[in-house]
Amino acid sequence: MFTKSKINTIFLDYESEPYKQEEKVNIILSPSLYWVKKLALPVKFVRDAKKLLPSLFEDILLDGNYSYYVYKEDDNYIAFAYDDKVILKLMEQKGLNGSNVASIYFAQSEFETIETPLKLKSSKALVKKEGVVILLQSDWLTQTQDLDLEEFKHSKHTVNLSLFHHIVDKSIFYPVSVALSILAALFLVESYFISSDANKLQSQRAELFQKYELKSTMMQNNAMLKQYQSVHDTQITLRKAIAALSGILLQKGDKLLSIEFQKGKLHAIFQTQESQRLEKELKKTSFTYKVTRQKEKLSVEVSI
Amino acid sequence: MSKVNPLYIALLLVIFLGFSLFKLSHAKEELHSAQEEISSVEEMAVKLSALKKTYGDDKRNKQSFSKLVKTLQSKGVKVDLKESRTLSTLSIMEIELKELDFFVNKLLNASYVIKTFKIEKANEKQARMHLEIQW
Repeated sequence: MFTKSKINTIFLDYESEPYKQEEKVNIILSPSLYWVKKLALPVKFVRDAKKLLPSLFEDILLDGNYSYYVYKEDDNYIAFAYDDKVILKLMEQKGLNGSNVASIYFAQSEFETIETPLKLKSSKALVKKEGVVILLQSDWLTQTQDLDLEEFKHSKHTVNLSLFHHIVDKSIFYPVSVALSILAALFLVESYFISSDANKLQSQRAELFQKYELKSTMMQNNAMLKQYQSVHDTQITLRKAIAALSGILLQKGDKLLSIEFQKGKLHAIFQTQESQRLEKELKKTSFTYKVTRQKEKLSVEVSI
Repeated sequence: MSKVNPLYIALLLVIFLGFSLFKLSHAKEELHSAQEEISSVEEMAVKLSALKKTYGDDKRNKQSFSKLVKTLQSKGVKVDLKESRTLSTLSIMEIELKELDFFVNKLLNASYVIKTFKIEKANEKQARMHLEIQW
């Protein structure tokens, strides 16, 4: 249960038999699926050599989107160019599901130590010529040995196939991604500062409650305000009405006999011989009033 | 083989950007509502505090009313003042119109809660008055 199960390895070529895949497999790519060059480059590190690869393969590659790989072998560099899409398409045709592939290797890196040509199941054989593993018709060769993939120990040079690199232009994609990430981060930072400002306002609210000695809930405070406001409005209206009624211009013989406020009503009784004139004066006030005439008396009622 | 589709990364970035925009707009809304709330609390607090000071300070208002009544008494006006914790009742059977004017002016300009109020003309020079102030 705790031992690592061995992963089968298959050789992928255009002439390979379709494979019925049920478990994870390793794939060795046939030389027909990549371009390889053995080069002596004036650079010290692999990362520097990698930058040169597109221009090194420029003259032999057809139009397409290629990926590159390079490793150092003694004083030389072994450089590869491959079309991910082509390999993936072939894998699909041969019944290989990408998610069930453990690792992919180049035939070059896996068979670089062979001395005798290796015969494949097809009519071809793998041959090492001047340090490069190539594919030849097995009929042309006098001495061959059957390929037994289990004999070989895998190298550390694995191929990373990118399903999508042809979809987006990396030179645009990465700067745009970085810009978007920075923008999003800026938004988050701004929202953090805005939220902390909002929190500060919350503490200001508590200070206001303390400063004005408010009750603990807004409902209590609003109820109190409503009550006081109602008293204030009534008292102001009452004062204005008293001022308006007592300020009415009276003619000679006219008298304000009484003025009374009770149960929300303000009554004023005038003695007048010209009630119409007095009513005209009343109309000049801004209050709604009710008038009752009784002989020489005019009774005015204002609702407060 | 496990390379991630750049479109997924792009999608993730868009989601991240959308999320950050949402957070930003939410924070702005939060700030706006906090600003609105604080200004409404402040407005209410100022109003309530002013009204409380005007009508809620019974001690100050009672003292001021007593002083006003004493002023009347010092002018020789006979008053009948009854005071309870919540109500002061003032009855004046006879008051000169000049004194009445002075008293009513002072009364109406102060912030007493007038519950009932009655002034009747007694004769050409005098009036009667009845007043209830609520505390």
